[in-house]
Amino acid sequence: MLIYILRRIASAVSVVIVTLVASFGLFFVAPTDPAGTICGQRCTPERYADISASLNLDEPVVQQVGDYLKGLAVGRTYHSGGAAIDCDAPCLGYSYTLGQPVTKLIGQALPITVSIVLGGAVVYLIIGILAGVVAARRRGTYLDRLMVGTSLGINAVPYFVVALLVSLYATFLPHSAYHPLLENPLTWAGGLLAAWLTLGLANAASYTRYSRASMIETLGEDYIRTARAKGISERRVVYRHGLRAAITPIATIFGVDLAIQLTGAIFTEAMFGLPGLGVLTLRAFNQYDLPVLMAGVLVGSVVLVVMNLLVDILYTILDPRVRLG
Amino acid sequence: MTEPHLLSTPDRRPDTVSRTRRVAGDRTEGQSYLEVKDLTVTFPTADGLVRAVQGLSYSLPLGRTLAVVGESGSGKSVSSMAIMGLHDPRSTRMTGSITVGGEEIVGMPPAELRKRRGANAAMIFQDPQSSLHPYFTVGDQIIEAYRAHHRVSKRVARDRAVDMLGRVGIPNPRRRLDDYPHQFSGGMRQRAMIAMALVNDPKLLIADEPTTALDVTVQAQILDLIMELQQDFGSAVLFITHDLGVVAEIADDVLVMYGGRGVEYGRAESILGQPLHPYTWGLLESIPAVSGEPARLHPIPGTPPSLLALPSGCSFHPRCEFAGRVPGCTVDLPELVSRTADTTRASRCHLTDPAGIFETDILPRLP
Amino acid sequence: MTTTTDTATRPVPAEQPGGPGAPLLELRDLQMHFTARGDGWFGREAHQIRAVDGVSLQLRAGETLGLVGESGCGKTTTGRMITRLLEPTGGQVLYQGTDITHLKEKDLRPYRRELQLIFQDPYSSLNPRHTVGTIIGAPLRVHNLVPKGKELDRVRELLEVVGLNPEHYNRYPHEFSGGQRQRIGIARALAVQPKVIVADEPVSALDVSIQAQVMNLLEDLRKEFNIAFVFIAHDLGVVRHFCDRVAVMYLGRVAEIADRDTLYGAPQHPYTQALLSAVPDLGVVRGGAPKSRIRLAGDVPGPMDPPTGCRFRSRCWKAEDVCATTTPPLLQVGDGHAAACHFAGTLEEPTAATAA
Repeated sequence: MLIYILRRIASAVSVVIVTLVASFGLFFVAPTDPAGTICGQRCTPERYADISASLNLDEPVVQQVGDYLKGLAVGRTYHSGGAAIDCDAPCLGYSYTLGQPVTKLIGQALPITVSIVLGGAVVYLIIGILAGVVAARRRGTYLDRLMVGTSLGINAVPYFVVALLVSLYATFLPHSAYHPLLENPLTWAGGLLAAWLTLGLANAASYTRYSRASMIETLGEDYIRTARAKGISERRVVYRHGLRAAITPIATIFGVDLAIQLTGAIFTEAMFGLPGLGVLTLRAFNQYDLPVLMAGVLVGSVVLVVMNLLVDILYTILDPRVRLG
Repeated sequence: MTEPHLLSTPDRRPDTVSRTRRVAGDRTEGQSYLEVKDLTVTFPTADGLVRAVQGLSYSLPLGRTLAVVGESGSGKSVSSMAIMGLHDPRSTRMTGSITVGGEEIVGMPPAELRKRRGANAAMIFQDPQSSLHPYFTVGDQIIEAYRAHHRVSKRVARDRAVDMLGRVGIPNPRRRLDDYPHQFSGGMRQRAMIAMALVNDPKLLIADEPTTALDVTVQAQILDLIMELQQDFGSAVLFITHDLGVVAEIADDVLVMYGGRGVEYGRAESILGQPLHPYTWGLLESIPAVSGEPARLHPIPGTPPSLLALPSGCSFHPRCEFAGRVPGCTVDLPELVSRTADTTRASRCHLTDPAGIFETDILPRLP
Repeated sequence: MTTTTDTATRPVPAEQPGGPGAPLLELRDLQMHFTARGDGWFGREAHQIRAVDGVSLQLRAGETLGLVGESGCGKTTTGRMITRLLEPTGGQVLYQGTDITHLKEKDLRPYRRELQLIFQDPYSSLNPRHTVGTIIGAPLRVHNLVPKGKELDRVRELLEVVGLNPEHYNRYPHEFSGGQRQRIGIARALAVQPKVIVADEPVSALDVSIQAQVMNLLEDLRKEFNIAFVFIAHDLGVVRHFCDRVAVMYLGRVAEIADRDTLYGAPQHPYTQALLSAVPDLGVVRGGAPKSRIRLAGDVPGPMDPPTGCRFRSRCWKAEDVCATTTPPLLQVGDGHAAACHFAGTLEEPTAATAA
């Protein structure tokens, strides 16, 4: 198991490096003109050269990649217009448009996104799975149809409408804002409640259907009949024997969903004014802030790889038949 | 056979003679542990009413094995599920009576039913692979079954589970208790299922095709085990199977089912040796034997009836080669009653001299 | 584990009893080793699963050869190699003297026509979205067997041959019962007029009465079209009923092969004896002599880690030291009768002494 995890981490690191090099190539080496774009329309040749130099665009590509990796490992120093800017490891570059080291920007945005996404996940997992189980047990009844219908309805509505409804009707919620968790957990949670509710409701709709389908399949299994034949309570049959098995496929979907949300909860962040990773990347995209975009890709690939690893490990915990090692 | 340690000792298996004698002594009226009377099980569906079981009656005393034989759709499994109260009351309609140990099962409130399930009557299923929960250890599952009916500590239940695993012939039971089902072989899994079923010392064991998914050498072991444990526990065994060879090995009594009804009932020797119903004849003629002169099979023509629209009169008449010999086959449903001097047997057929027809027409062409 | 595959293990092909000419189909030392990758302490470790490990068999035109054995014995894998649904990892498949073991798909096509497969599961082996006419007609089109416009006539003819209503060509598989679906599968195999049909458990998914109907159909077709059969089944009664010769397989190897009467009447391999003794027999009820009762301990070991030497020794009551060290070759013990046991020929007939 340990060997397996170590090997998976090694392969994860190599995936991240490949992503990094590939995206580096796409952004900096491709026939684009990053310096020109940053420089803008009224660009003097001096300023252009200065920007090129500070981005190291005048160096050979391999060296550019090397510098970037070195910056990640030990930090580096940028020179801009004679001034030297120190960028401590792990250095993800320097944002000229914001005048900040990228690492710092990411460091501010990431906790916000993680807070939104994980809190939202708790909401949709609890609502979705419980609703799914109830619907599966009452399969074919009006309650089941009502729940499936509601779930389809919520999914059919664009996400921003859900957000709009939450902000229009859930006015009793505290004003959306981000306060660090460690300062005051209560204000942290309060400021995020609206975002959690939006993310939670929208996704709970899908998770209701996933868990309903998975539960219906599981409840038809022979081992559920065996459990009933033992004379244990129906609740125990459903929640201990049924849910235990039905939850495994949901874990896979959840892992992928979580990774996507962590890198792209743009809607939620933007609508509730929470400056998370999505907002940061979107702004970088619009302003062609290459170092920030690069960092966004890097963080995204790390998140994806880590989530995959976690799902696989979770699988071995959930299903004893899957053995790693 | 110089090294008998590799074999199960042959003398453990009760031979047919001694079993019959033992049972014959016990068999008095009113001692039946399981009584099924005029049981009807139907499922309303979008296509119509599925009549899975109709007018089924039989009784089973302690210490005896009744084999219920039939093909798919004969109602053999449905009736056994009904005894366990395992049908969803929302989609099933049941009338008639099932008494287990004197208690009426039909119409019993679900909570009461649950208390008895697994305690008075326990069940083992066809496919031990899919019938054991893949995510829990074998021990957990047996312990859970025991604690569902006994207020004991986990330790006590665990000891009981170890004891049961040992009794069903799993070597090293204390260690194997913590294994997951996938770490067991097919035969071991069925042994574990049996241990789980018998952990509460039920008086009735229902075995629904328990060896169908197993290899033939393993099937032989499991059949031996069931017979051996039946003697130890003195329980009644309801054995559901489609395999008449297995019936010959294990059964005291046989009930043959067709289209949801019992069509022939009697001692195993009579049913297999001199059956009186054309459907039983057809079954026997369909089975290629492993000994004797190989002959061409004489299968029953056609296919089993749809339970949505059973044929008029005797359900078997469209497939019966003797249906033209007597009037009434297409109109009147024959009763399952004793039609010979032997009152221990009954058949649901209008034929006047079935024993004679069997001797002259059927016996010569049996495989 | 690898020490057992020396030349001594190579089975001696059993002679055909008086067969004129070359066999239609010949398997020579056929092997199918799958590699299962697992993660070990030092990188990846490959586990060899020897699903089939040195099987040599011959089939003459019009003959029926039964392959019996329990789960994991390799009978299905062997059948799939014969029809080249699997490419063997060792040995040869010779069809009419031609080596088809590693032929490319394009070159294989004419042989595919001659070697047909019938599957166990009549539910999953028919495409539910195609009509029966399309299903049976497909091989006719693929092999260009019938001129355009005559296809439907041929389909109707085939449906009639297998005992189905020829006017039902327009129906879908789900409109048929299990037995009828198996008949459709048989019609599909017959469409290309094969010389060999590999039937993999063709009746084991069917109810007893339907099973007998399909058995009789196969027997009639065999006689009418002189098709040779490789009949794979776990049911010893079914195999005995249908086959001229029977090979008993155990963990990827042939344990014993003989003509039907010899194999069932005087088996020489302990495994064959145990297998026959384990089959519940109706004969006893009708006054037949009680059979010997041999009860094997345990299940068949996994093919991942078979016992050394003789693979049956872990369950064999005859096993001695030699069985662990030396793999018994498949040797002649009688006319057309071969057994892979160190004690074959010296085994006493199971008698009343061993019977319960």
